[in-house]
Amino acid sequence: MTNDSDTLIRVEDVRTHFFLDEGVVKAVDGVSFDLARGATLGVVGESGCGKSVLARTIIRIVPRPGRTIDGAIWYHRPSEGGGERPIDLASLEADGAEIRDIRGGEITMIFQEPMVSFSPVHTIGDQIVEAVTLHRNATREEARAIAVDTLRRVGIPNAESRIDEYPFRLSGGMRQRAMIAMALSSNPTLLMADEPTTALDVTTQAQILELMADLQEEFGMAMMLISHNLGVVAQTTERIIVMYLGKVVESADVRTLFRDPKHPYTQELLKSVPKLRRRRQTERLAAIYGSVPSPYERPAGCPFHPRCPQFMAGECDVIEPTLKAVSEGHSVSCLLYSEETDS
Amino acid sequence: MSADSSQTILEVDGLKVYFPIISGLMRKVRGQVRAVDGVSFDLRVGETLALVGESGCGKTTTGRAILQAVQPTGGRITFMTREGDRVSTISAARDVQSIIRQEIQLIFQDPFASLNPRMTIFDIVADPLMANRLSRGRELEERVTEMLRLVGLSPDYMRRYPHAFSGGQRQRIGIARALIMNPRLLIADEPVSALDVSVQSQILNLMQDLQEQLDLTYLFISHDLSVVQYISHRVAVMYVGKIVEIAPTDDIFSAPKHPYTQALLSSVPIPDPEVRTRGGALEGEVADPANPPSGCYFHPRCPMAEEICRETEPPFAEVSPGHFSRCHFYADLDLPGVPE
Ligand SMILES: Nc1ncnc2c1ncn2[C@@H]1O[C@H](COP(=O)(O)OP(=O)(O)OP(=O)(O)O)[C@@H](O)[C@H]1O
Ligand SMILES: Nc1ncnc2c1ncn2[C@@H]1O[C@H](COP(=O)(O)OP(=O)(O)OP(=O)(O)O)[C@@H](O)[C@H]1O
Ligand SMILES: [Mg+2]
Ligand SMILES: [Mg+2]
Repeated sequence: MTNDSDTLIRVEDVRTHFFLDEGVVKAVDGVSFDLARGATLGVVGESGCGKSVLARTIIRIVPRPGRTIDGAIWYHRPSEGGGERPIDLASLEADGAEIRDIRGGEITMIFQEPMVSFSPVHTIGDQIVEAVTLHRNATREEARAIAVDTLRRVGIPNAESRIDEYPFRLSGGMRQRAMIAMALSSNPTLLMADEPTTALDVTTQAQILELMADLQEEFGMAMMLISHNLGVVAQTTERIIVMYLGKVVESADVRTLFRDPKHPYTQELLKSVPKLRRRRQTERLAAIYGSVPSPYERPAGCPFHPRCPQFMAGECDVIEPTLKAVSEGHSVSCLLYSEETDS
Repeated sequence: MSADSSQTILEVDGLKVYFPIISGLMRKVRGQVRAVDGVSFDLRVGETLALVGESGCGKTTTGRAILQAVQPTGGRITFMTREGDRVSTISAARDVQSIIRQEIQLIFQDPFASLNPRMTIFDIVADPLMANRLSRGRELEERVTEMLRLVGLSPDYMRRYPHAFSGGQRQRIGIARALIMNPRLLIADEPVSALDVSVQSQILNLMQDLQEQLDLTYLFISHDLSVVQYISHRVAVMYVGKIVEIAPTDDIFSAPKHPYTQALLSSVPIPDPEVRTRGGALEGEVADPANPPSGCYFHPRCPMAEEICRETEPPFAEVSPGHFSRCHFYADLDLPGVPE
């Protein structure tokens, strides 16, 4: 898809499992993808498919009893004198100096739970200044100036005074803006945003998405946007990976994915999205049969087979498909397409 | 559907719910949050009316006032019982109250938080009947079985606990529990917001089937306009405690007559990368219901605001039969609605 010099992150067959008394949850189970410098990637899939764990895996903050047991995460880290040096984030010490230097600096994250990003007992200014001094080699005065400037850039009015507010004093939309400001203040190469607008109203969501798109162009960072809202990813990302039970089932550029989805899961998912039209719709909404199985009762063969309208008995429940290219930049993990690529 | 011809089941007239803002050591009342500020609408048997609008505009409070979970500051709520009596829900005698409590039920938003994790599915669904001592033993078990079948769950699951169920299944359990009292009006407060799209469709289809089978009336509270379009016959748009537009669903989506309705429609991210929706975002934030602006509450964010909007509150004007707008310029507005 991209030549090597463009690549920012290359994730190779990563597995993060949770070892619980009830059994092993294979939250991320053999995921691979590339993310180019300055590119935008959407990650979609139903609740529990592993989107958040995937992002946490990249910056090595998987909580216990979770462990990344396999795979590589090649981060092409810019080096001081220009050029870059690939390092495998998966092989780093989880709380070692190098990953701590990268996390919150070069790679930042907006968390799904707003209160994970911000501590309630410090002002937003103090928290941004802290992040900036830690990662940008700036004095406190310089850092404060950067913080005010970033808050202003994300559209917070009276940034000079709002900087001394506590997070809980801000409205949902303003807190989200402050969170984006914090994630941007270190000038990251990659921003991972986990459901950044899910808790917001459509009007505020539209404001925040526009803001993120503008800032992404302006700062030139790469962005990984996690969302279960297909409208949000359609409007903001260039490439999409679709996950199901810890695996990538399809990956393509956004237009191809929406115009010509190959995996039955992607097809069903797209059909089930209610579309805004001019007239009241009286036909029934398409729904995917059944529901996502419990992580302890992972189906054999293709994990989607019990819900799949194109299920082939004796194959899909036996053979586990792997991700294969169906065309340039478009990969699918489904037995329907396996012969075409094997021959 | 029987929606337009049939009789009225609920009339809400000038409903106000104000919450006092109390502060300081002396617990003095510093002001009032006008959560619901003069809301009027009626509901006809067998129809679905959607209540939409941004967070904090008063949707849930309106629903809670109808359910008698909060005391209105002013206005009237009149309910027509199964027996055909017109009763005021606010001043009703106790025997009438219990009729209302049986005929109006609530479906909650969050299927994860709303079910007691220590109760079995049987206990959860049977609870309204048991609490009111209306049924027990074999009869109760048969009734629970019937309800679970009705919402598409196997009665074999009756002795399990909620944690063993997916989000969609839990929402089915919540619906079974609401239906066991044989209600006529259901207030559904964001019933599918916490669910994945795939499962959301299952629940919306189920709600539609049940409506036809049981002649149910829904007040459907939601902030998701795409969902609203599938389920509702009419839509009421709220802004800072007031209904700013109410109309049949087609009119709201193809010929809205309030700039706020248009702003909501333009903000929905379209699940199609070929259609770019960027550039239409509304500026500013929702007004504070404790300290609303002068004139039309929407004027600080309205792209069309003029002097009169800052000074005078617009009347609730009838645009066409059944279509009302609270905008000074309703007659001149040519808003596109959802793009063709
Ligand atoms: N701390 C944890 N302990 C045990 N299991 C976990 C933990 N965190 C996640 N999991 C499990 O890992 C799987 C993937 O979870 P993840 O949070 O990544 O899903 P998601 O795709 O982000 O879902 P959502 O859309 O609901 O946010 C799930 O089965 C989840 O239950
Ligand atoms: N018990 C209460 N005491 C004081 N204020 C309240 C109370 N309940 C609601 N409010 C306020 O009344 C207003 C309307 O709240 P309500 O919950 O009805 O909004 P909503 O439209 O349902 O919003 P959401 O979409 O976030 O659920 C808000 O400003 C809210 O803070
Ligand atoms: Mg998540
Ligand atoms: Mg509410």
